[in-house]
Amino acid sequence: MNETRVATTPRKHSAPTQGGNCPILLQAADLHKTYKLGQVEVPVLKGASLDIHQGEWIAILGASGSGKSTLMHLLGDLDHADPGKGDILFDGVSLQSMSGHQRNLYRNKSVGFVFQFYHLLPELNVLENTMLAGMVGRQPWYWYLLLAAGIIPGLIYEEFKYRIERARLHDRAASLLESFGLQHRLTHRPRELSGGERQRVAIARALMNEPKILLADEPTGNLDETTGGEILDLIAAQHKKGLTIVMVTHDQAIADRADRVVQLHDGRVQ
Amino acid sequence: MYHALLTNRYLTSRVIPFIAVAAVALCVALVIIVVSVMTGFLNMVKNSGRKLMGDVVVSYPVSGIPHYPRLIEMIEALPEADAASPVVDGVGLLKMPYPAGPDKQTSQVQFWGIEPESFARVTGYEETIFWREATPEYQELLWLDVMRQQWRHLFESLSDDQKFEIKRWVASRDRLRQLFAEDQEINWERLFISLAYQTETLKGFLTESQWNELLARDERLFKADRILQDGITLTRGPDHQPAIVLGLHVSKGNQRQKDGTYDTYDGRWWMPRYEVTLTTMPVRSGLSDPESRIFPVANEFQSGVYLIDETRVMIPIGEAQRMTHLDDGEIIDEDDPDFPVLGIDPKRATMVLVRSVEGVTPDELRDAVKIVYERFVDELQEDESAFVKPPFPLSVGIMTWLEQQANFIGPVEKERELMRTLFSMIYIVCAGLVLAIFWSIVYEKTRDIGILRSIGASRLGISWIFLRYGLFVGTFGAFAGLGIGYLVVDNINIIHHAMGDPPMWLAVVLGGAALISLIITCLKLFSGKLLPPVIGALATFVLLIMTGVVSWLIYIGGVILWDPSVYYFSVIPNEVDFPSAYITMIGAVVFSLIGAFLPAAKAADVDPVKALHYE
Repeated sequence: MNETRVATTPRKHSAPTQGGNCPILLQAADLHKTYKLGQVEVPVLKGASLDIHQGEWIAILGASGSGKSTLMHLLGDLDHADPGKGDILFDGVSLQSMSGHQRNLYRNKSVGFVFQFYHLLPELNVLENTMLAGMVGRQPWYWYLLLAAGIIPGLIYEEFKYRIERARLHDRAASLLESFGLQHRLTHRPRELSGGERQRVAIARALMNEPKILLADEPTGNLDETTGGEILDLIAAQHKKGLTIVMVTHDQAIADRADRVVQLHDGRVQ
Repeated sequence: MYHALLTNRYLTSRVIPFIAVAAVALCVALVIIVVSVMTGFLNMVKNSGRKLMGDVVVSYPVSGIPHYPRLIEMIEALPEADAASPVVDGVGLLKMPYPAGPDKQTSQVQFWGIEPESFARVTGYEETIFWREATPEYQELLWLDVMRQQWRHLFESLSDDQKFEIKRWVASRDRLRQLFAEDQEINWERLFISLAYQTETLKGFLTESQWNELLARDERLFKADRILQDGITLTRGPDHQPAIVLGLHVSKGNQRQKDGTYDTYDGRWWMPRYEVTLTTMPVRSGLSDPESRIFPVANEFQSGVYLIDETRVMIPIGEAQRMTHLDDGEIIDEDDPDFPVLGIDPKRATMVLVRSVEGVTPDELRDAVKIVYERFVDELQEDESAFVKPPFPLSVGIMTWLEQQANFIGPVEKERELMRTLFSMIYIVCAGLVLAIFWSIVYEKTRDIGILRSIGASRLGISWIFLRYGLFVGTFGAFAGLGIGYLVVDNINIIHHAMGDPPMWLAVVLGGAALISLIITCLKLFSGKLLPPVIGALATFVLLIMTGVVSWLIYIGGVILWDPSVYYFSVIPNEVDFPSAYITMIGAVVFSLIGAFLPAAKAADVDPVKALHYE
C-alpha cells in the first residue's frame, strides 16, 4: 500500500501549544480518495494518516492538486473516503459508524468551515448568514415525517420555534459579529461588504455553534496581504481561546503561524 | 427552522416565484370561474324548477284530474305539505297587439290556468311579476289611452264656462295654436290627447267629479302599485276583468338592454296597456272548435328561464278550464230522446302543484302524496255520488320537480362534470410550471445547497426548503386564484354588461397608460440596457391592444356574449361554487407540491463538494 507521507515540521513561534500532550480530537487513519474523471481514475489521497490534538493549530501545506482540500473535506465529512479505505475518528468515534443525523450534527456542532470564497448566502444579510449555522441541524429525520403527517401544525410549530430561537441566535450572532468589528454591518447583504468583511462573517458563522474544530480552506487565498493578515490574527485569537484549527494553505508564510505544519504534495510525501 | 428564513428570502427576493404564484392563481381562478358558472347554471335550472312548479307535481295531461279540490284538501292535510294548487295547462295561439294595422303578429304559447292565491303559495310566482309599479313614464301612456277613449265623453260633460276657460288657455299659448282649425274652432280630440301629458293642467279645468270619473277608468293612473296587484290576481280594470300575465319574452315589445334592463320597443309597446287574444284547440274528447278569448294584459312575469319566459302565459284557471272544456258540466244520456242528466262531470285540473313544509324533502313529500292519491282514488271509487272517477294512480305522474326536469338536469350535470374534468387538466400545467421553475432555481442555488450541507443541513432539510417553497407557491396561488375567481364570478354580469357597453373613460385611461408607457420606454432606450425598454415595449403593446379592443367594442356598440335565448337564463350565474373552489385549491397545492418534488429530490442529491465549487 502506498502511504502518503505526512511530514511535520516543528513550530517556529512561541504560540501557546495545547497539542502534544493533549488528547487526539480528530484522527485521519489511512485515508484513500480516488476521483473518477470519466473513465480515468485519479488517486488523490493514498493512505493519509493524521492526528489532530485538541487545541492544536495545524497547517496543511501543499501545492494545488496535492490533495489538501480533499483531506479537509474528508475531515469535515463533506466527502467520503473510498469505501473500506480509511476512516476518520472524532473523539474516538468513527464517522463511518455515525448515522446520517449524527453526521449532520457533527458538521453543524463540532466542525466550523471557512472557505476561500467565503460562501455566504446572497439573499441573507450579515446577521442572518451568521445565525444560519445556529438554525440548521435542530431536527432529527423523523421530524420531517411528522411534518408531512400534519403539514399545517408542522408549519405553525416550525414558525413558532423559529420566532423563539431567533431571539437567542440573534444575540449570539450579534455578539460574535461585534467582536469581529462588524456591528455596523449587521443588516448589509454580502455584496455590500469587502472581501475581508465577508471572510469575517464566514468565520463568525463557523464559530456560531462553538465548534470544537475550525476547518479553514485557504481562508486568506482571496484577500490582499494586509486583510489576509487581519483574518489570520482573528483565527489566531480563536486559537488562543483553545479552538482547534486545521488550515489548508499553499503559502509557507501563512503556514508558519500554525503550531504544526503538515506537507502534502500530489498526495505524496515530499 | 432555517427553512422558514430561506423560503421567505427566496420567495421575496426574486420575480420568478411571483410568476409561478400568478400562473397557479390564474389556473385556479379559471377552474373556479368555469365550474362556478356551470354549477350556478345547474342550480338555476333546479331552483327555477322549484320556483315555477313547487316541490311535487301531480299531473294527468289533457283529460285532467276530476274532483281535484278534494285531492288538494287531502294533500294540504298532510303534515309534509304546506300548500297545493291546481293548474290547467295547454297550448294556444296568442294574437299580439302589434304591429300597428290589421295584420297582428301571432305567437305560439303554453298557457297555464292558475288560482292566483294558492299558486303564489306553492310557487314563487309573486316574486316573478316584472312590473312592480307603473312608473310616471308608463302612467303617461295609460293617460293617453284613457283620453283617447274618453275624450268625447269628457267633452260632452264640460260646461260652457269650462270650454271657454280651456279655449282661453289654449289661445294664450303659441305652441298650442295648431290645435285650432282654420275656422278657429278648437280640435278637442287633439287637445285632450295632448293634455294626457299635462294632467295637472287638465285637473285644473275639471270639476272633482269629472276628474274622479276619469281616474275611475284605470286605477293604475293614481295608484302605481296597482299593476302588481293586477299581476298577482290576474285581473284588470275597475270591474276586475279576468286578465292575462305574459312571460316577459312573449312580447317582442320588451327589449333587453345591454345593461340587463328592459325597455319597450318604440316607447309604446308596453303590454299592460293592451289586450291580446288567446286561441286554444280543446282536445279532451277529440278535436273541437277553437276557443278564443280576449284578455287584457295585467302584467308580465320573468322567471329567469328564457324558454319559460318566451312561451308561457298565465290566465285564471276558470278561463283555462272553459277554453279546454275541462270545466264542469252535466252528463246526459244521448241515446235517450229526453236527454236525462246522468250526473255531473266535475271541473278538472291537469296538474296539482304541491309545496313541502320546511325540512321535508321533495322525495318524502312525493311518497306521502302518492299514498294520499291512492286513498283519494279509493274513496271516490266507493263514493256513488261521484259519477266520474279519477284516473288510477299508475296513469298519473307524481314526481318531484327534480324528476320532472330530469331530462334537462341530467345532461347539464354531465356537462358540468365534463368541464370540471377537462379544466382540471390545468393542474398538470401547475405541476409542470412549478417543476420547470424550481428545477432552474435548484441549478441557481446549487452553491447555497453546498453551503447549507457544509453547516450541517440534512438532505431532507434541503429538500424540505424546496417542498416548502412549492407549498407556499401553491397555497398563495390557490388563495389568489380564489380571490380572482370570486371577484370575476361575483361581478360576471357587470363585466358582461361592461363588455356590452364599454365606458369611454376606460378607453381613455388605457390609451393614456399606453402613451405613458411608450414615453417611459423611449426614455429607457437611453439607459444602455436592453431589458427595461423590452419590458416597456411589451407593456405598451399590451396596453395598446387593450385600448384597441375597448375602442372597437365602443365602436361596434359592445357585444353580448350571454344571449338569454341560447342559455335559457337572462343573467349569468354569479355565485361561487365554494366546495368545488376548495377542491380546486387543494388540487393546486397538491400538484404544486408534486411539481416541487423532483427539484427537491435533485437538490437533496447535490454533492456538497461539487456544489461549493459550482459556478
